Amino acid sequence: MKNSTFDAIIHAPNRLQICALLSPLEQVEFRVIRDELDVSDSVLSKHIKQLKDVGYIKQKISKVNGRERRWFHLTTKGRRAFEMHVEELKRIVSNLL
Amino acid sequence: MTNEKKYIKSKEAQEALDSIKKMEHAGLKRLLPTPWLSAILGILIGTQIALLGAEIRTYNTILIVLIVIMMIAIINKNRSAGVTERILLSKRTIIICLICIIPLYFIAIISGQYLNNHFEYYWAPFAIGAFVTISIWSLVVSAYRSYINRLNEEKN
Repeated sequence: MKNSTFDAIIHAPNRLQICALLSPLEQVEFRVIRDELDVSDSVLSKHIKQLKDVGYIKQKISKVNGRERRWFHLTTKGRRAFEMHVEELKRIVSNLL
Repeated sequence: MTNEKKYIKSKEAQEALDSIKKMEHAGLKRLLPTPWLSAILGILIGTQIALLGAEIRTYNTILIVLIVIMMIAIINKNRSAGVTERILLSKRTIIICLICIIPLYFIAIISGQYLNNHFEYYWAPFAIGAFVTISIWSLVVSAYRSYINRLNEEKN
């Protein structure tokens, strides 16, 4: 049986969308997250920093044609927290149906 | 960690679940593979197996160069998409798969040469090459279909 825990850090709309975008993939580039969320670089950086601080996501930097590209991926801890949060959301919805 | 317990309404939870589905769908959509590059790679590998099996080495160098170019093109295409696929297989399983695939490539060439030299089945290396190409194509198409199915599931 899966555990379900509400996670206030993940639940903020932008952070929830970041985790949702990262969850089915291995790594996602900064510009892709920014385009999908339709937010500015600074707003995205702020949310990413919060997720990084709690150890939910990690960053890798690669250089392509001299340009720095930032890639992000969910850590095991982050993936587990996201899955548990989704379970909790499902439980809330099903309980009140 | 400030992981405080918070209670939310069912409507908010449903909206959150909908936005999760939307983002997962968007991520998978970006990952959708192009079957044509992999199909061309399959044709090149099949042609190389057929020609080496028939002991025609004239085009071997150009085929190797083209295979490398196609591999770089596939990797670059995935990188430019800004997303990379989540591989659920462990590193050990991938290494085992590669260890199994590489000898199969040489077995295909050697069987073509053997059938050609000992039984004079001149068509055998080309049949093996075509079989390899069709196998790679089938794998690529099945991977493409599984992505489409996953996208449709996410949509529903």
